[in-house]
Amino acid sequence: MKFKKPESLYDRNTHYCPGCGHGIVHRIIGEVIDELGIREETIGTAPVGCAVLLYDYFNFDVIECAHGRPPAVATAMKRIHPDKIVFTYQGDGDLAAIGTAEMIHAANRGENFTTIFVNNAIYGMTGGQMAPTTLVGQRTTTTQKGRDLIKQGPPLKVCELLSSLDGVAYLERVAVSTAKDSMKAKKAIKKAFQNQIDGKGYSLVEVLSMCPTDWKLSPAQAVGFVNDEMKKVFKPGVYKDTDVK
Amino acid sequence: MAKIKIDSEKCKGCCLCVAECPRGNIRMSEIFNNSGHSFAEIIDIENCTGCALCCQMCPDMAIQIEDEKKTGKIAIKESSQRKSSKELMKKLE
Repeated sequence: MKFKKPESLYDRNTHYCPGCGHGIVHRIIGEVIDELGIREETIGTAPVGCAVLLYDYFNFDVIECAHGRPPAVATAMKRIHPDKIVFTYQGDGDLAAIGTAEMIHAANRGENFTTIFVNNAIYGMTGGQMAPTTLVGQRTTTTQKGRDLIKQGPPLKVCELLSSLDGVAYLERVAVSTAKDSMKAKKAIKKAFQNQIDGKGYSLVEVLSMCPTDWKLSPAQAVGFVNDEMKKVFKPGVYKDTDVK
Repeated sequence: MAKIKIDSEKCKGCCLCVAECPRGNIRMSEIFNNSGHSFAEIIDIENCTGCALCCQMCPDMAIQIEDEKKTGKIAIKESSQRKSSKELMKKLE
């Protein structure tokens, strides 16, 4: 078989909207865990957000956390079970809004787990309100004339924010808007998991993802929005890598 | 020719694969699946090279590709190995 569903994912339909990037990120994580052969040792954490039913799709243990608290739960799990592979899967409302404190302190302590941060520039599950990562000028249900730079401020750039912390081992921003980008995303996520296996410290991969429903665009237009608008503000690339000196 | 299979019941009709196919070999169906979505289908299976770019973009993992040549060879090898190991076990017993 040249291309099939990874063993780490159950064979069932997801609840995500058509064209949502979460499905692609799920497949990439499943493939990486299969390739590293760590399915029996992996524990994931589910966020609050669209990916709240993560435990229904992954064929390994997943714990549901309070909103924004996966880094705290993952810290506890990794300290109690240092031999397990722990990762947190968080959206922009979970990681960049309510959970900013947890995320920054976990990163600063250099906790040895992996974070997959799915950034779609909007609150998806609650119906399209402005997120900290919403672009300037982007129309949402709470910023109906577009996000205003003076009233609401510029978008929060998580990779740039964390790159100054000493505890962080690896930071990369990728996208899943084209096939080439999703292959790059797989490489980055694999490195983030490998860093954890090698005990290097905190790794975070930010994935720019599509939300056609709340952006009020078709899936094809949503891909265009990521490629043309989001990548200009959130520039893809490696922001920190302790291997490269 | 690659053995490509699109699961019409898993497809939600987002068309991301249609845009990604370098040969323009995928189209949306005129009929609907049980969820009410128009689903992706292959236009000409002979024209598919099995590059798997559509699989990279499918959020619902509805597309699978079988590699004919490799699976054929591996299948023969595995079956012969299994036979020989079974024979060995019998001999040992």
